[in-house]
Amino acid sequence: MKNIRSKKTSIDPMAEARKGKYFKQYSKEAKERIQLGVEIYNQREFLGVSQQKLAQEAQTTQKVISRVENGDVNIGFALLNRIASVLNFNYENWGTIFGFRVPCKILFVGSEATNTTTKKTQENVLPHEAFNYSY
Amino acid sequence: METGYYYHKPLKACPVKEYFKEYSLNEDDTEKIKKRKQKILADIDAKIMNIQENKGRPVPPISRPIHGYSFFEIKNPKNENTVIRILYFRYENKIVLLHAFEKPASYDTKKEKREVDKEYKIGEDYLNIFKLNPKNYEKY
Repeated sequence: MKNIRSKKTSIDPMAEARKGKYFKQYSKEAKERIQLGVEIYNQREFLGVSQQKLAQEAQTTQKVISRVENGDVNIGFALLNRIASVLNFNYENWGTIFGFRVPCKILFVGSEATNTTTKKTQENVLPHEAFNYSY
Repeated sequence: METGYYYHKPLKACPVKEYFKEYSLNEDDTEKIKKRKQKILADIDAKIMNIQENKGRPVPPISRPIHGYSFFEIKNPKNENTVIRILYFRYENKIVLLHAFEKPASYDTKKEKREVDKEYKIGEDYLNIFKLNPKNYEKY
């Protein structure tokens, strides 16, 4: 059987669309909406809150929550704040949505720690940097 | 991980790619229509990329498994009343886009349910044919 991978049967509309002047901007916006939607969905599932209940407490409708979670609509600042408040969003949630790392405190214990009296010290580091310390 | 369009030999075409042609830009399209078409394709592309980053695993609520079938579904709104459904499955290290169709955003009648089931069965047929010849795909 011939491998057709190298031989495209017709023009790919997606490849053509990627050359369009609006595509890049829309693509970036869609990616951000998806990140937000997935984070809201994960946090809601984690807390065991239904879409209906979240909608009620955030003063909106279940349909809007569904569309936000699917990454299908842009969300206003006020509604985002209400949803974040109901779902107890913390720095980590915002970090996931906006793609930044949240500094955390790590505790050093032992003779290598700088505070010789307590043998303990604390330092603010980014999570991925914590693994670079080998006390 | 790579993504590919399933190629259906009897049609001599890739069903998902054929569906996307509805959103190809035409010279006589107004600026508003051009923007709308590109937005729909950009939204679908972002969802496919998200799934690809997750190694093809369904990422709720972006994609979900379909009860009774071996594939997953990506949903994207076309307008207020219509939703675009794209069926895909994972095969070895690939995401294979099998079939795409539209259905009402909400439906209750038996007739509508039957029509949706018919589309799912087409997707299942494509999946089984692909498994017999896994080279039948085009790069996404």
